[in-house]
Amino acid sequence: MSTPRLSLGPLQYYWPRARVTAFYEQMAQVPLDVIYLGETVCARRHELRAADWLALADDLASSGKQIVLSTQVLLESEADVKALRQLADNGRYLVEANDMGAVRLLQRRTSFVAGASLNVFNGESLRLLAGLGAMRWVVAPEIGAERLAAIQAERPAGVQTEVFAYGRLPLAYSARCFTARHFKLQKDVCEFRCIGFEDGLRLRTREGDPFLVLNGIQTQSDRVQNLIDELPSIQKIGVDVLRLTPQAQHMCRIVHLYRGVLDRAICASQALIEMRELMPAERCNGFWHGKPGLLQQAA
Amino acid sequence: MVEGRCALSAYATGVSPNSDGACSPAKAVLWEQTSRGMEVRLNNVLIDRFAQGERAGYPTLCKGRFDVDEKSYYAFEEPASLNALELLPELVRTGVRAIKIEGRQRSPAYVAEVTRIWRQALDGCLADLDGFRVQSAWMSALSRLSEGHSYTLGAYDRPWK
Repeated sequence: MSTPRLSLGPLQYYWPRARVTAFYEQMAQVPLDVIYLGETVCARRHELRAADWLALADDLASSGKQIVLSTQVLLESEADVKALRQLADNGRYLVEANDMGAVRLLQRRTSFVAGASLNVFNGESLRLLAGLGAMRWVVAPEIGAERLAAIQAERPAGVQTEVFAYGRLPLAYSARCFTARHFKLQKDVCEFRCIGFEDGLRLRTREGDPFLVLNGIQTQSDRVQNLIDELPSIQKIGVDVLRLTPQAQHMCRIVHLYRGVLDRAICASQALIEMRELMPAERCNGFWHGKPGLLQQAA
Repeated sequence: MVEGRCALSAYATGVSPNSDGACSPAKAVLWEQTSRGMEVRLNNVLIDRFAQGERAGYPTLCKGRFDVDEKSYYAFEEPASLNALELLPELVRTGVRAIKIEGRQRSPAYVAEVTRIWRQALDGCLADLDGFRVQSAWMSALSRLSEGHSYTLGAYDRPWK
C-alpha cells in the first residue's frame, strides 16, 4: 500500500484576481503533489479567464507539482465551448474533464482526468473512460468506501483513483444561480454578487441549523467532509490521490496537517483537534460510510 | 438542479437518485403538527414549516423554504408544477411525438386527472392544430392539482436568466 498523493482541487468560489494569485503563490510553497486550476462553477466569473488560468499554470509548474486544468461542469453557450477548447488544446497540461463534452475533445488524443461530475458509478463506466484515455478518475462524493471498493476491483490497470478527502462537498449544479436569486437578481445581470462570499453563502433550515452553502449555480454541503482519520480504509482500497478543496482561510495549515498524517509525523486524532479551529463548519463523513452525507460516523 | 448532478437528497437521506434510489424518498418524510405550524422533515432535516391554512407541498429538498441571511424563502425553486399545455401546438409542430405525465411522488387520482385533461387537449390539438385553444376548465382543474396552486412553463421559459 503506497501513501496517497495530495491534490488541491479547483477553487470553487469567486475571489478577486489578486486574492487568487496570492492564494496560489502560497499553495506553490506547501507540500501538495497536484494542483487543479480553473473555473469549474460559473462561466460568468471573469476575474481570471482561460488564458489567465493557463498563465497561472505556467507560474506554478516550476514548483514541481503536477498541474491539471479543470473544465466547467455545465456548458451552456458557444463561448463556454470556446473556453473549453482552449483548455483542451493547451498542449502542456493534463486536463480534468468535468463534462462528457470535454471528454469528447480530449479522447484518444491525450490522457485526461475524469472529473467527479462525470458520474462514474460502476466498473463498466470506468473502463469506458479509461479506454478513451482517462489516467485518473475522481470519485463522486456520494460514493462510499464499500461501493468504491467494488468499483476498484474492476479498475483497469494504470488508472488512478482520487477521492474528496477534505472540504465542503459539491452537491448540486443548476442552470440557475441561487446567489443571484437571493439578491432578487436575474442571472445575466447578477452583479457578480458571489464575489462577496469568500466561502459561499450559508443556508440554514428554518430552525437555524446550518445545512447547505449557496455558491452561484453550485450548491455545497455546509459541513466539511474530512477523511483525515479514515486513512486505513482509504489505503486499503487503493486510493491514489486525496483531494483537498480550497477554503478561504487556513488552507496552508490544512495541507500541512494532511501531509503530517500521511507521513506519520502526527496522528489523525491530534490533527483533528487542531482542525476544529481551522474548518469553516462542523465536519462530516457520512457518505464515506454509506450513510447520509451530513452525518459524522466513528472512523 | 441538473438531472444527474444533484446529490442534495443523498446528502440528507443517504439514498442516491444517481444510482439506485429516489429523490426525497417517502420513507424519509415526516409530517408533524407543532405549535409553530405543520413541519415537514426529510430524515430529520426541516424542509419547510407551513402556517395554519397554508397549502403544504411534498418535501422535495429543492422546493423547501430555508433561511439565508435571516431571510426565509424558497432558496432554490418555488414549489410550482410544470404545465406546458399552452405550448402544445408548438410542441406538435416541432415534431414532439410523446408527452410525459409525471407520476412519481404522485397519487393515482392525480395521475388519472392530469392524464384525462392532457388526453383531451392532445386529441383536440391533433384534430385541429391551428384552431387549438387552451380551455380555461383544463387550466383551473390542473391548477387545483398543482403544488402551491401555481404552475410554470419550467425550462421552456427562462425569466430568471
